[in-house]
Amino acid sequence: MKNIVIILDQAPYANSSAREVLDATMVFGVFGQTVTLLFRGAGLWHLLPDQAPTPGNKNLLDVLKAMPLYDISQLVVDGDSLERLGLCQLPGALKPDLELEVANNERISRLIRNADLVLRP
Amino acid sequence: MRFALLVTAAPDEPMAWHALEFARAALTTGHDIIRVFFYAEGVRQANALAAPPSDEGDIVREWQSLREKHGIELVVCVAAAIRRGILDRDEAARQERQANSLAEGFVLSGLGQLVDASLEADRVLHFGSSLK
Repeated sequence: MKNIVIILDQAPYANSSAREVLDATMVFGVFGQTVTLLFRGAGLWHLLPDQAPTPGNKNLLDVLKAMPLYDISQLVVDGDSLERLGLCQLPGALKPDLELEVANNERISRLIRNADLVLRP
Repeated sequence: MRFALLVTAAPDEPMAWHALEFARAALTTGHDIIRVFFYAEGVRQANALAAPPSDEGDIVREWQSLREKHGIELVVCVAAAIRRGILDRDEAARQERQANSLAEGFVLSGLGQLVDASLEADRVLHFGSSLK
């Protein structure tokens, strides 16, 4: 079993890219690896509640909520990005029924240092 | 050393060519490439119908010739491929499409092939898009 950190730094609905990062994350989970999904930069837009994607786009928040079913329980949010985007001040943000850990730089560098594999797909 | 390559850069991005050159250099200096896994926009490198202008390189051909010479595995994520119109004969039939477009030498398979190669490799190298 390996420690895998997957960095999601892409906005949810710009193209199929974020969706494909989440797919890869789930498959690493299904294969029994220890997976941490790290939200950075524009990736934090995944964590807003009440997402209403345009027709033809799957709701990626629903995909995130399903992560525990794929044994991905560690969802980590970069605290710097959180502050930069001002999301802490937005009511309801970061409370979309997900278990999130807000991490500082030290914690994130430890996560990455301890990982066998870091992917930023 | 045993490498696994993940290529998500599109064929018209320099990064895709870096992946190819890395693979070539590794193989000619005695390293192993367990698998090249194409994902996201990278799957377009397996499009047999792409016809770049003659004064530009043809990366599909380049991957194929690397495979002919060294027998490396070129695996394309099936989900990422079919949404972009890259289908082998079986998928074309299954999806009821009129043509198949997967270049010879490439195979469609699941993301499990990426996980599998990642677990086996000493190093995983990701050649990603610079456009995201």
